[in-house]
Formats: sequence, C-alpha cells, structure tokens
Amino acid sequence: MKILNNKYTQNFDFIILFTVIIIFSLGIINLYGSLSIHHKDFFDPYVIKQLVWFVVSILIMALIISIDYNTLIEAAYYIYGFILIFIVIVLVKGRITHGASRWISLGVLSFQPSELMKIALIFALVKYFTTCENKKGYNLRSLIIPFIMILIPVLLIAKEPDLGTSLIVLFIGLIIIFLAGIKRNSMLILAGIILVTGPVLWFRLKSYQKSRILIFLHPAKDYLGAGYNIIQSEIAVGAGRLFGDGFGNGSQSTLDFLPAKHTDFIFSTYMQQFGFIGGLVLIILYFIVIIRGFKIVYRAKKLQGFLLGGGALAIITFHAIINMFMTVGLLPVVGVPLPFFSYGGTSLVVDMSAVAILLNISMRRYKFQS
Amino acid sequence: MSSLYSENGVFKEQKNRINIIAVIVTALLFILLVKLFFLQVIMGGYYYDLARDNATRVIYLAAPRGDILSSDGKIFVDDESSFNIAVTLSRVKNVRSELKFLAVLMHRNYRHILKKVKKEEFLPPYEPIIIMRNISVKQLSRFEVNKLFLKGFFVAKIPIRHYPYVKMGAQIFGYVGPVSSVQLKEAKYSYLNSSDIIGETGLEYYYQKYLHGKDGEKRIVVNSKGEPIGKVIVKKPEMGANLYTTLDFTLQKLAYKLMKKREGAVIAVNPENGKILAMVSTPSFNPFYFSEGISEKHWSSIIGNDEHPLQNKAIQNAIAPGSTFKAVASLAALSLHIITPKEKIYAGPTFKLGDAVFYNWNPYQNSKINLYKAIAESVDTYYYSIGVRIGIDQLAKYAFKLGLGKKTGIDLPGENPGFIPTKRLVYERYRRHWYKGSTLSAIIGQSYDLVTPIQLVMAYSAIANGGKLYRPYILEKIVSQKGKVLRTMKPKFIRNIDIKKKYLDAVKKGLCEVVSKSYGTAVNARIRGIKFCGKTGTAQVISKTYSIYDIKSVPRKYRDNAWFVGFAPLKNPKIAVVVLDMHAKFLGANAAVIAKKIVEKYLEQKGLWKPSKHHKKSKKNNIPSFIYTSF
Repeated sequence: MKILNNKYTQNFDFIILFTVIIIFSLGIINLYGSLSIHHKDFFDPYVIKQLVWFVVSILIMALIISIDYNTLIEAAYYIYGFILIFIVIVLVKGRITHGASRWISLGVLSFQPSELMKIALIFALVKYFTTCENKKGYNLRSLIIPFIMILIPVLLIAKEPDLGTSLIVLFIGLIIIFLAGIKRNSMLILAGIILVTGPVLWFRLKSYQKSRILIFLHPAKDYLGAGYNIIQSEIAVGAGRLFGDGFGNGSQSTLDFLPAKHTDFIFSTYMQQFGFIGGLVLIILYFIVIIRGFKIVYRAKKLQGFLLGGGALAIITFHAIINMFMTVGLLPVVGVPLPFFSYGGTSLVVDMSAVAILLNISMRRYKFQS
Repeated sequence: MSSLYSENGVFKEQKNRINIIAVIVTALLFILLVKLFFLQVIMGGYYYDLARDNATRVIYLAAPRGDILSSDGKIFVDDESSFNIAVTLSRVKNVRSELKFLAVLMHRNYRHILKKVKKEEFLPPYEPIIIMRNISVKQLSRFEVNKLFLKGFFVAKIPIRHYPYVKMGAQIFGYVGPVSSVQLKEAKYSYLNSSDIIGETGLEYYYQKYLHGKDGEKRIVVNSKGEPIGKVIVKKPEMGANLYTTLDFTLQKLAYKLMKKREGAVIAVNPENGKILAMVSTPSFNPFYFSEGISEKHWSSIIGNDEHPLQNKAIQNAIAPGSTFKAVASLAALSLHIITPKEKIYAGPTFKLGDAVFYNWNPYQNSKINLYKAIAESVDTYYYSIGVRIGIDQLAKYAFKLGLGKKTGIDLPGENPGFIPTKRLVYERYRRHWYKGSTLSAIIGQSYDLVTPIQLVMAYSAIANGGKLYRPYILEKIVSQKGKVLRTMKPKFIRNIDIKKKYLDAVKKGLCEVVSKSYGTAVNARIRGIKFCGKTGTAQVISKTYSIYDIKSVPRKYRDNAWFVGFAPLKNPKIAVVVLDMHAKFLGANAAVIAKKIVEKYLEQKGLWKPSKHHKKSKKNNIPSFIYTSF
C-alpha cells in the first residue's frame, strides 16, 4: 500500500488541503447568504449541486494523488489529445445549434472541456520540456512545437467564444515556457510579437468583447448597458464597508442586482456580506495556499515536478487574482471563477486537481531525498 | 547565459524565475487590498447609499392642493378627483397590442397614446405612466368591463384642479401646470418632485408654498428588474392649506358678470384698509386647460387673442388714466395755492400755448368756472390753464404722493409699476427732452402718464379716507387642513399722503358732483340716497382732432379706453371701485354704470341701501348711441 507509506504522509502538505477546505466552506456559507430572497430553501439546488461537485472533486484529487505524477506525465499527450477532441465536439455542437457552447453534458452534471484543457496543457508541455531538455535555454525556434501545442486549444476556445478561458490557457502556457527556461533575448522578441499582434487581434474581437474592455476604462459611460456589471459589483463591494452588512444581507445579490452573483461575481457578494475584514481573511487564506504552493514548487528536486507544480500553481493564482481584480474594477470583466469559492463544478474540479498535483509533488519529494 | 543550471546540476535560473513570480503575486494581492480599502473603508458610505437606493423605489402620491375661497368661505378653486388610466409597463406583456385594444375601446387615437408611453420610456418600468387623463364616467365603465383583457392597466385617481366658475377671476387665482425641469432645479421648489403640479401665475403662484400639500409616497423594495418584493410602505399625502381671500363672493361674481363681454378690469376695494373686495380682468380664459400642460391648440388660441386674456389687467395693464387724473391735478393746484376751490377761471373751447392749440372735449364750453364744476364737467381747458402754472415735476410729485407710478405691493405676481413723467424720468426712459405742451397733455392724464387700475383705485381710496395710503391685499388668511391659521394678512398702512384735509374735501365735493349734478359726466351712475363720488375718464388710444364721434364707425382697437373710479358713501366710505372698459367694446351702460351696480350691491349687502322697484325697471333703457370722449 503505497498511499499509506509513512514517508508520503510525512511530506503531505496538510496546510494547503485544510486551507482549501476552509475556503470552500466559506464559499458554501456565502452561497447560502447570496440566495435571492425569492427562493430561500435549506436544500437549495445550488448548494446541493456544489456539495456534490465537492465530493466528485475530492475523489478526483484522491485519484490524482494516488498516481505518481511521472506516470501521469507519461500519459500527457493522450490526455491532451483527448480533451482537444472534446473541445472540437463542443465547438461543432455550438455551430449546429447556432449558439455559444462551452458545455458537455453528462446526465445531471455538465462540464467544460476548455477548463480541463488548462490541466492537460500543463502535462503536455511538461512532457515536451522534459523529453527535449535543453540545459542552455530555449530560443524561439526550439519553442515552435510548444507554441503550437498552446495555440491550438487557445484558438479553439477563443472560437467558442470564451475569450477569458482562452487567455488564461495562453498565460499558463507562457508561464511554463518562462519557467522551463526561455532565453532572455527570446523573451524580449516574444514580448515584441505580442505587442505587435495585439492591435490586430483587437479587430478580431466580437463587439461585446470590445465593449467590455472599453467599459473597463470608462464604466460610467454605459450605466445600464455594458457598464452595469462592473458598477453593480463595485457598489456591492463598497457597500460592505469595514464589517459588512452581515450574512444574508447583501442586498446587491439577494435582490439580484449583481449579475452572475454565484459564479464570476461571487467575491462581490461575499464582500457586501462580510466587509473589508472578511475580505482580508479570504485574501490571507488564498495567500497561504499560494505561498505554500510556491514553497512546494521551489523545493522540487527534478524539472518535472518543478514545471508541473509551477503550472498547477499558475492555474490557482491566475484564477484568484483575475477574478478578484475584475470584481473590484482593476481588470476588464472576463468570465473567470474564484477558485474553491465560485459556484460551478468544472472549475472546482480543475482547481482541486491543481491542488492535488501540488500535493502529489510535495508528497513524492522523498524519492529524491538522500 | 551559458547554462540554466548551476554546477551541481540544480536548475538555478528557473528557481530565480519562480521567485520573481512569487514577488509579483504578493504585490498584486497587496494592490487588491489597497483597492478594497479604498472601496469599502474610504468610499464605503457612498456605495452603501447607492446599494440602498438600488433596492428601494419611491412612487410619489400627489397631495391635493389647498382650496382658494372667498372671505366668507365660498369656493373659487378646489381639487377634485379625476379618473385616469395608467399603465405599469413591467406588467404588460405586449404593450403595442394592448394599447391598440385600449385605443379602440376608448375611441382614442392609438398613435397618440403610444407617443405618450414612448415619451416616458426612460422611467423605470415599475413606475406607472398615465396615458389617458380625466376620463368620463362612461369611459370608466367601459374600461372596468374590459379590465380582464388589460393586464397592467389600472384606474388612477389623481387630484386635479377644479374651477366651479370656470373663467371667473382666472388671472387672479392663476393656473397650475406640471412642474418643469427648470423649475425643479430652483432652490425654492426643492420640496417638489417631477410629477408635481405647480402654481404658475396669480395666487396659485404667489402662495404656492402653502397651497401645495405634502406629497405622500409609496416605498417599495424591488429587485433589479423592478419587481416589487416584500412590504410596501405608504405615507399618505397631506392636502395643502386653504387660502381665504379678501374677495366678496357676490361682488366678485357680479363684477365678472358685468365685465364678461368687455375688455378691461374691475377692482373693488375697502378704502379704509386696502382689502380687495372684487377683482376681475377680462376677457378671461379657462385655467383648466393649463393644469395638465396646455395643448398647442389652446395655447395658440389664448396667445393669439389680441385682448390678452392671460394678462391680469387690474395690476399689469398700465395705460393713460385720462381725466381720472384730474383729481390729482386738482390736489396739486390747491396745495400749491395756484387756485382756490371757489375761484372762477375762464375756460373756453380751446387753449393756446404758443402755436399749439389744445381742445376741450366739449366744443361749447365758454364760461368762467370754479373747481367743482371743472371736475364735474371734466373741463379740459380749466386744467390746461392751471397746468402751465404747476409744471410737470410738481404735478408728478403729487401723483407719487398718491402712490401712482409705483407698485402698490399687492400680493399678486407681475404687478406693473406704471409711469408718471418728470423731466428727468422722461429723459432717462425715452431720451427725450420735456416741452411745455406735454405738461398740458399730462395734466389731463394723457401723453406719458401710465397707471394701473389698482394704483388708481388706491389713490382714490386715499382721497376718500382722508389721506391714508394703504397697501392693497387679496389674502385674508391661510388655514391648514387641521384648522390652524398659518398666516393672516393685516391691513398695511403705508403713509399719510400729506395733503391738507380741506383740499381733499374740496376735491371730494367735486367728485360727488360728477355723479350728483345734472351736468356731471357720470350722472347716469346716480344712486338714490347715497353720495356716490367718482371720476370718469377717457383715455385716447390714438390722437384725434374730433371729440364727438359715432362709436360704430371707428375700428375697435382705436376706440378710447373708458375709466371710472369712485367711492361711496362720501362720509365713512365703505367701498372704492375702479372700472376700466377698454376700447369701449360695447354700447350701453358705461364704466360708471358698472361701478354703480357694484357699489349698490355691496351697500345693499351691508344693509346700507335698498333698491326701489322703479329703479330696477329703468336699468335697462339708458343706452346712448353716442358717447363722449375725454370726459
């Protein structure tokens, strides 16, 4: 029984796991408090569903932890290909039904393959960089294959259209390339390319995507239209003041002023109920998770663990920072959930899997200990 | 860089890079905290209020306005409930088709109704929009029967101004209208909200603050779609305070009846305190048309009328006083010792000043006369000869003493100060130098002299009461709905006019002879058993060389303005009346007869006079076909 091996438990990072569970519990409490005053059931379908997803994600975590991550890296290209097929299916389905489609339904539960791609891409890139290891650093030419691996899902997801997820997948890929050891001057050239292609991409954006970015710059310009989300969100956050309006008293969410109050704007809902103090507590909890994550990554002995952990940590950190920044008006509105906190199955599974990967790495450090 | 790895095989460069990322992430979390601190701690109060405003909606309930009543409590203007059809758009499924149905049902134009709805589209959807105002009982029942098919539509009872006597006194009471966005911004109207109506003119304007009640409100907690949630808190509206005017109900009605078909004004006032007993201005208008925002059609018909129905001629129309000004001229001449009352002066048919010839209205005048006769017969040439000795500035001084050429300070908006010429004032106003001939015109109330009826009647009141100038007033008291007296108006004595009593008595004697002597110009205004004193006046609209003419041959707008101002009885005067009959629109009883009827009615009410049967009969048959100008 490898799992019960004493050395595993010695190196298991319980702090991360507990902190994540505390964040999730706060999320459930918050979800209760945010329910519309129209329907306040104890067995609220949102809460029940979220609890079911929690059980599912715990099982998936256990599965990930029990398998050596090196074994997973071996299977990386298969996983990557498998998810890519799902993304194409979603896209084709969307074309047929003439609507945006991001979901694949499995009976009661449905999931977004684009979310799973974040994990799959990390594994695939790690596999590539560890099989073609280059101790002198990578120039752009040697990075062509990783770039292709990144851009295929990024473009497909952008087509769905899901610009937020697409950009996050891109950033995660870039982070891995950065950590794997891109040469400094290649990094500068890459930055230059992004700067040049940026304006070109602007014209490829859908009009609502453009307006989201424009509105981010001037939210008051279109109060009831595109600026509505961000203004209502800022009102909710600000109205919380120092100590919050109290559990269940967030009028912005209970009276449905906040759009996407369970998912993208769950943080604003929380802030109105629990105020600055509550926000401070939540941010500290995230900080604990992130810092413990950094420690695990930093202490990894082999490149596989280092890159894999770095990617997993990037998922959690990106999600947390982008979501919170967006709800307080520091970033344009993109549909990114708050890790462990937002309502939504797939994102919970993805973020929990990222945690599982970090735990997996920390746990198996002993293998390299002398 | 030679290698990413250190010599002992550890990936050093990569670890540096993860450290960089860790620092950046920590910094970002710190920025987040700073922003949260700003939003929640620094701006928290502001956002808290915004969130509360988000969730509560207020619908105002209009308060009925206070009534406007006569001094004895008879209603001139009050509020009644009107039935209106309103719609709450958030509750209507298909607005267009339902509006079409409603239009057919009520025999109204669909496009017209749709336009009304579209105009209010910026309103939040829970707020009712009134689409049909003041519907009839028939329409109401038709609506009620079909209510099932009109979800979201309902009957709203709204207080609306009601005018039992329609046009009577419309300029005095004023009209109301929906408050404008400009008015809403004014500090004095801060208590109003956008759906209110506001007094625009007259007493409605002057005492707006009191007449307007306290609006009620419905506070509703709503969600983001504007759907009501939870309790509705209602604060009932409180009706505004009642305005008791000084007006005598019977007299006011009589005055309007007499003037209805003429153009002009009548004021009756108590000369001992300045209380207005009646005030009308004609032609009048129906103020009801204004209460919901006047339609283009009505507006152009009122504005296009060259008899200016909106103008309160009693206080806003400053015109030449004509011979009524001779009382002022007489007082000036007596006080300046230019004449004595009994002193006889030659007055002929004409008066020459240099090359200019000034005519008497009566070409057969050719004798020596004293002051009494000069007043009674209104002899122009008598006044020309004293005019050259008084001079314009001295004449003006006495006019000012009597309150002419200045606002009386009556509690109504838009009073016209009029104009009394002095050499300096004429130069300042018209950039013209004075020449002596103008003094002769001025002394018979022509040329530059401009007075309002209210100034004239207050001046004559001062003569009647022995020299006390009062400020006229029309508000008696304001009483809240709970019966509390919020404000009372007391007579305001302005000053003693500073003219010796014997001179006043002499002029009063002359004024009495105007009515009592057979040669008096207002002999047809004689009241049996009452000493009725007054002065006629005819002010030229254009200058004419002829003095007697057939009234029918002259276009109406060039006909002269007829005045009568007087008081009764001579001792302890109870009433002073001014009548302005502009452009002598109708043949028949002239200004003096109108005044006489008002005085009779008032004295009869006070028990001081009784009509005789014979008197009543003779009333209708004295219609002269010729009238004289320049009485």
